[in-house]
Amino acid sequence: MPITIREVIETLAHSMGLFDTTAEPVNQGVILFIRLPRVVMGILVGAALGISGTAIQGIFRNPLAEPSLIGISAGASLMAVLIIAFEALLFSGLTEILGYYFLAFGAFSGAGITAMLVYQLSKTNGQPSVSTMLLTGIAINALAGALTGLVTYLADEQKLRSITFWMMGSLGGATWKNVSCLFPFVLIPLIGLPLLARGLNLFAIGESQVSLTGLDPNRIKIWVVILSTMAVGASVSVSGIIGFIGLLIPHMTRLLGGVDHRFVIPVSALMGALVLSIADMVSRMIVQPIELPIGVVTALMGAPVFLYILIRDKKKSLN
Amino acid sequence: MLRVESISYKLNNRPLLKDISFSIRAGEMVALLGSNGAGKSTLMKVLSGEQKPDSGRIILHGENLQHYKRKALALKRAYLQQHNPISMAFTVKEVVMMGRYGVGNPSAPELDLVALTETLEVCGLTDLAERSMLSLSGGEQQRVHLARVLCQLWNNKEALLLLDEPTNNMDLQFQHQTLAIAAALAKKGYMVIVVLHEVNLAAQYASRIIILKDGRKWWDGTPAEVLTPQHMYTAFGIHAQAYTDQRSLKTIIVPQEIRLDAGEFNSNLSIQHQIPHTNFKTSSTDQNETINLLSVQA
Repeated sequence: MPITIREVIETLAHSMGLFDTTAEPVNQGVILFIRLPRVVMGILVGAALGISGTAIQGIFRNPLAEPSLIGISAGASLMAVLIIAFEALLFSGLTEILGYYFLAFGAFSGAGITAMLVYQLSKTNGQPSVSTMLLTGIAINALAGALTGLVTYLADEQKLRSITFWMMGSLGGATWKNVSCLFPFVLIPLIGLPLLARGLNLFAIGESQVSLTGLDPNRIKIWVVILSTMAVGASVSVSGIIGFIGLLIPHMTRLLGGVDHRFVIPVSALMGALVLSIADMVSRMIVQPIELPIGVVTALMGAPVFLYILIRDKKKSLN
Repeated sequence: MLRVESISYKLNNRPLLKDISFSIRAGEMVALLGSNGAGKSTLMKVLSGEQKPDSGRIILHGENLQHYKRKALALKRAYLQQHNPISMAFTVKEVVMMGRYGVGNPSAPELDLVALTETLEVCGLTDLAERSMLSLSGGEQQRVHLARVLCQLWNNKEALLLLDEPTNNMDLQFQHQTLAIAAALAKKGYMVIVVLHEVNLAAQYASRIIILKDGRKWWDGTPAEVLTPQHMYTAFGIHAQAYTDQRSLKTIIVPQEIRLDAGEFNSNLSIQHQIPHTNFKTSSTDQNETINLLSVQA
C-alpha cells in the first residue's frame, strides 16, 4: 500500500498535535498502527541483535559466534513456539500484555539455557574451540528446528503463524503492545552490556587474564550471557529468527573504529538498529507487493561476510 | 616479601610440586630453571594464586595468598603467562592499558595514562603504541604483554612480578632487553621471579637461581653457587663446562655438544635407489680452542 513521504510526515506531525493533515484516515491508521510500530520494532530488534552479537563474540572469543548460528536463537524460538502451542494451558487467564511478557521471558530462558550449553560444550581442555562451537550450534539448530516444526505441525493452525516466520524472521507482527513488551528487554542490556566492556576486552587475551588483572571472570561471563540472551530471546519472541545481524554488525563496527569493546558494544547497538531498519525497508519494497522475509535480506548481506571471515582466518593460520 | 612454606601440588593424583620452600626479599631477581616438566610453570601458577596448593602456605607481604581479595592481589602481583594468544586487532596501547583495568582508580584516570606512558617508554614500545597487535612479530607481542603486566604493578614497589618464559619467541637483542627491564625493576624494589630456559641469561641477569627437578627444589643460591657442571648434569642431563667471564666475573655455562649418528635412518631407501650411504657423524673439535678467552673455573 503506497503512502507518500509527505503523508507520513504530516501524519506524524498531526499525531503530535503540530498541524493538520491532508492524509486519508486509512493511511493515517496504517502509518500509526502498522508501519510506525514496525519501524520501532526494527530499531529495537536491530539494536538487541547487534549488541548481543558483539557481547557473545567477545565471550566466545570468536568473530564467528553469532546467536542464530550457534543455536541461541533456535533455543529461544523453540521455547516461544512451545509456549504458544500450549497457550491455552499456560496463560489463558492472562491479559494480552502479560502474555507477551510471558512469551518474552520464555524465549529469554530458552536462549540462556542454550547459550550456557553451547559455551560448556565448546570448551576443550578449558580452551574455546571454534569447530566444536559451530558444530554444537548446527546440532542445536537442527534439533530446535525439528521440534519447532513438530510443534507447529501438531498445533492449531489458527494459533500459529507459519514456521517460516520463526525460521526466517519477520517484523510484520509488530503492534504497539508487543513493541512495548520488547522495550525493557532491550533497554536493560543496552545499559548493562557497556558496563562489561572492559571485562570483554580482557577475555580477548584469555579467560585466566581476567582474574589475574583483578576482575571476576565468572561474574562477567554470567552477566554477558544473561543480558545478551535477554535481548536475543525477547527479539526472537516478537520477530522470529533474524540471522546474521549479530555477525555482520560487530564486524562492520570494528572496521569503523577498532576492536575496543568500550567502542564496539554501544556502537554496534546503533549500527544494528540502522542496518535492520534498512533491511526491513528493502524486504518490503524490493519485490512489491510481496514481502520478502527479512531473514533472506540479512542472510544475503551476512553470509558473504561469514565466508569472508572464514577465508581470512584460514589464510592467517597458513601464514 | 614472599615466603613459600612447604607447598605441594597434585594434578590428577600426580604430584607436580613436592614440599617446596623458599623466600624472596624485595629487590631480588630469581631465575627459575629446570628441565621440561620439572614443575616451573606449575610453581608459577601456584605463586600467582591461579592454582591452590594442596598443602603448605604462600605468604605475600605478611598475608596468606589465598586470603587476598582479587583486586588487592592484582595490586601486589602480576603474572606474565607463557602463551598469550590474541585474536582481535587491539592496538598496543589498548593491550597495555588492560593491565590497569582491575587496579586503576576510576576517579583518577590521568594516573592510568601516566602509567601507560611510562610503561611504554620503559619497554621501548612508544613508537609501536598505535600499531595493531596482529601486525607485530611474536617477540614484539610478548613484549607488549610484558608491558601490560608491568603497567598493572606500576605504582606498587615491592610487588611480586612473575614472568613465565618472557623471552619466548624473542631474538637475542629482545631477550637481553627484556631481562634488563626485569633486573632494573628488581633494583627498584620489585620481587621478580622469572622462568628461563637459557641458563646463561639467568647467570647474567638474576641475583639468585633456583633449580627445580621432578617437582622439588634441587638447588637455591647465587649463579656462581648453582651453575656448576655437576648440577647441570643432574638437572638437565648434559655435560657442560662452567667458566667465569673475566670482564663481568659472571658464570658462563658452555654445554658440550651432543653427537648422534643417524644410523639406520634412510638406509633402506639408499639401497633401493643406490644412493650412497651417508653418515651424519661429524668430526670432533677441541672444545678448549673455541673458548680460549675464558679462564677455566676451578
